[in-house]
Amino acid sequence: MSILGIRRALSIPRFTRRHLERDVEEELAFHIVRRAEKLCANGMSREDAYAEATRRFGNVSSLRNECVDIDRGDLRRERFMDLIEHTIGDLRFAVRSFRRAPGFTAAAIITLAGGIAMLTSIFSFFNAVYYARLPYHDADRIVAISEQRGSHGSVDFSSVSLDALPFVRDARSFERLSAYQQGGSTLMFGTEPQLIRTLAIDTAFAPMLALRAELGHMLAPDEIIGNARVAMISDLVWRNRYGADPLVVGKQLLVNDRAFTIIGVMQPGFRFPWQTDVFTPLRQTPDSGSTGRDTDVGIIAKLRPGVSRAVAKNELAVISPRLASIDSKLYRGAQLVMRDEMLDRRSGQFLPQPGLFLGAGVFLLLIACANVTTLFYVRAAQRAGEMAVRASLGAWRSRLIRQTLTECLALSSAAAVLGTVAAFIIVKVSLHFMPTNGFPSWFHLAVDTRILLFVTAVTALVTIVVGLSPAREGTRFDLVKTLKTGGDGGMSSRSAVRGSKRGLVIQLAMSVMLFVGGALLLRSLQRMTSIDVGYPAERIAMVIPFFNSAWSSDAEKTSRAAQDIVDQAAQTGGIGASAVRGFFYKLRETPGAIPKRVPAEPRRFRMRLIPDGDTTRAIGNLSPSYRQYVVSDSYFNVLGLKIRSGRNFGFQDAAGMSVAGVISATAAKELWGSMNPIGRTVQMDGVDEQITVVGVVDDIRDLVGGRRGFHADPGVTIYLSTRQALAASPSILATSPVSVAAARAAIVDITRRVDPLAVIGRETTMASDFELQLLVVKVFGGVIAALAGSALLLSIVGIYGVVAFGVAQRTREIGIRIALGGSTQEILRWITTDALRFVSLGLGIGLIASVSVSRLMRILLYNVSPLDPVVYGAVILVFGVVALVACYLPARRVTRIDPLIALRAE
Amino acid sequence: MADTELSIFRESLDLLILKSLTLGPKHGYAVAEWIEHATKTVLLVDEGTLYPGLHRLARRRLIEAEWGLSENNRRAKYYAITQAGRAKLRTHAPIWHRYAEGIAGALRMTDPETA
Repeated sequence: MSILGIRRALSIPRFTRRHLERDVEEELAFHIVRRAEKLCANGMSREDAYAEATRRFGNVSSLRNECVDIDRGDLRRERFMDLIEHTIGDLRFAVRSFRRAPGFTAAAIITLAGGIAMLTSIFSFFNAVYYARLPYHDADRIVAISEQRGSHGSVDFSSVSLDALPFVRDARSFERLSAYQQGGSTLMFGTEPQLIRTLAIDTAFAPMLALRAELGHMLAPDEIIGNARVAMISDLVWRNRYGADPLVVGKQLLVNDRAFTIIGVMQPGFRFPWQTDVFTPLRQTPDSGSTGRDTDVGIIAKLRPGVSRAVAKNELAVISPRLASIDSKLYRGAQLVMRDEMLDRRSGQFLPQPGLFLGAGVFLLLIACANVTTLFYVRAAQRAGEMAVRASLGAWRSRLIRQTLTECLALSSAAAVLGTVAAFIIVKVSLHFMPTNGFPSWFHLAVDTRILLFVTAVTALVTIVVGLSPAREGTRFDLVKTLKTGGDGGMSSRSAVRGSKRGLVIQLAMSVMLFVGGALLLRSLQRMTSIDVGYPAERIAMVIPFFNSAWSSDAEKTSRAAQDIVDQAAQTGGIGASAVRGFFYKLRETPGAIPKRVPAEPRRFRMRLIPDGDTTRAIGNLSPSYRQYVVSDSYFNVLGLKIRSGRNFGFQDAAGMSVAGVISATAAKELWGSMNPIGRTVQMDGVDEQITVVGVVDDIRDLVGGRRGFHADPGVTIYLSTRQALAASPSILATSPVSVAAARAAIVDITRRVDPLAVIGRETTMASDFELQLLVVKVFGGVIAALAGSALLLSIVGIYGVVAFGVAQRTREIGIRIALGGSTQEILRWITTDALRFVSLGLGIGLIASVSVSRLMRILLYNVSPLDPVVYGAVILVFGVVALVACYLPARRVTRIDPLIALRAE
Repeated sequence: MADTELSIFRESLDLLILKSLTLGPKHGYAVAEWIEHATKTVLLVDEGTLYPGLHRLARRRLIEAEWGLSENNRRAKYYAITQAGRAKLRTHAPIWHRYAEGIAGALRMTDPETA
């Protein structure tokens, strides 16, 4: 379409102010000239005549402006009224013509509504997570600050050590600073211990966020400073556990075996940062036995009015080097970093892989658009006669295009309304199947202006994508010819067939891409379920006890409890063997030394290993499959791992003796190649002592997700003995001659006896972790497969429609062929071949596009190349067969064509 | 405008313009001349009010503008009266007659006291 045509269609004013000014100037100049000529004729000199003629105008330029202003008001109003008038007319016309074609209308609206519903429901999740305003006072000025030591990749935003805190307080960009500490505690409701999240807050916290108590009172400064045994409970706990009891204030709450007095209920929905249920005072000094260096707090800070985030970041960067004055070794290169918001909404826990989901949604909508475009082409052909009549009555082509676009707008608007309603039903239903406590408190799925804007934008896009090309094709015709043939034949229907094929090719290509994506995921899933992890994971019961959190300040106690469970299990019938395994936390202190405090979360050291004290041979980049485990003697036996050389742990590996390590076969190979590792030493970060290798054991594998997809390589694994090292969050593993369930039940019983306050994790077997990881892939696979299925269905409908339409358009031609003696078989083959030509074009384009796009899916794939030949083969087969059937069925109609009737058809 | 000349109100100017165009399309200069001529040069039309008047009438669709060639072959903007313009003239001319006659009659009246 020409620029002019577009402008006319969109009703953009032709005259700019410059044009109007020139117009008026010319008009006035004419007057002056005429006046002057007359004055000259009366005997005035030329100069005087012009001067007099101009004088009579007064101020010419202001007069000009006055006239231009009048004209502009005119233009604007006129154009606007015209637009409204035409649009209303067009809409009325559209509704009338839709009523005449209910099948077409319903098909188009439902198809588009489906696409819009899918995309909108995905977007509403996206919207809720990424754009919802945080419901805190002055949330737009509150940032989070963290301290980064060493070169860790990720920054934990709940970690500024108490020693570093005064340096942060020096920063002048912030009006106010508040510290908090997250924790997990056991809470007794009746006899059932429950693990809850706690938040210890300082005096600045509640005022900064303007928090209020729904009941009772907010933690008061004197209670916080005096470290009183008081707590507030979340609104959720109050409602669910106390039945919204108005007399809850003053009741006792058992947190970690200690009684706290409930002083209030927090304002509804406040569970910062993540599902917090109990709020307590923050100790202002490190716990006994630990220093300000290893006591971390989270920091939120409020920017001074007018201070930008960039300025604050700069200031923190300037302050950072001063941290070295605390401890030049520990704080070397330490940085204070800032996050723009107090919460991290981008963290995967809220919405994994939003891009993939949104992308899939956009894709489905585009497929729906392509499908409806195909329908529109067919319709444009059928209406060629009507268009030609209107054109002959003097309608501009731009008017006809606008008419078609208005029809599209009417359709897509109807689809948008329907789609939005459907989207919210989808969201409501899917929320039903999701754990609602998996969402943060500020997460509200609701129709807001952003979603409505989104839907509006989508609708506009759909209108243009769907309408523009058929509108152009449908109004480009040879007037005389079209009118002569009665509007059913001629050029325009040919071009409509071509156009509808083009739409179908696009649609097919995109369906193929979705299908490839779905198939890759399914294949990945199939491969994942057949991974050999090196031990019979589903036959080993696993119990992860969260021991009485009062003990968590003492890793010795939790380790001893875990050992007690294993010891008691050994004397219990029904349990074959049991063992303890936990992540390495630290070496046991030699007797007499002061134990260190254990942080709530285990620290992971995954940096490097140094063999034989030779740093030049150190191996780094060990993550993510690098593991440091602390295990009991029976561990290898329980898992069925063979000691390949050397020995298992034993009595000789007592605390204070040289640290013994058993390493995996892969570790041995990585560190020493073909040399015998027994008796050699290795050093790992976080442990000062050299570890002496006493044994080499079979590899184990885990499914590990990463940037380049899932993998299950036998990683480097180092085991230390529970005799010499302490474990963070130990788990109990057990086998049973009877059944896994029996083994688990027995271990749970024993655990309850050892620690009545222990909360038992949900894991049942060693395969549980693995299954959780599979869940992500399964959800994705499910969504993509569903989308691919609908895309395939749409493709079938599309192919069928286009072939049927083509046959109908060529009825006469076919009739002639039959009359001239062509066999129906031959004609059938001719039509099918013709149809398959564009089907294979779409298939080809789709496959090529898939090859380039499927790489983006690698993150979800395990052991499947994005170019997996089986997947591509299957896609070609499925689409080929489907296309063949969808072509053949409508094409078969030609065999029933009676040449006599066909020739008379027009 | 000089004191001796009568200033004409916008409303009456509109009517005069419409009236001038009933005799055929004219450009702005011709409209001004016609008015001066028709009012026996009692009314000298001020260009500063004539052109805004023309544009206002065009905006209200009482007249239409179109570019054309003048008698001596120059480009000029011609105005023509529309159906709406004729209707306006028909309804408003009598009102103006009554108004003008009323004022004139009142001013002609001899004051009994000074007579």
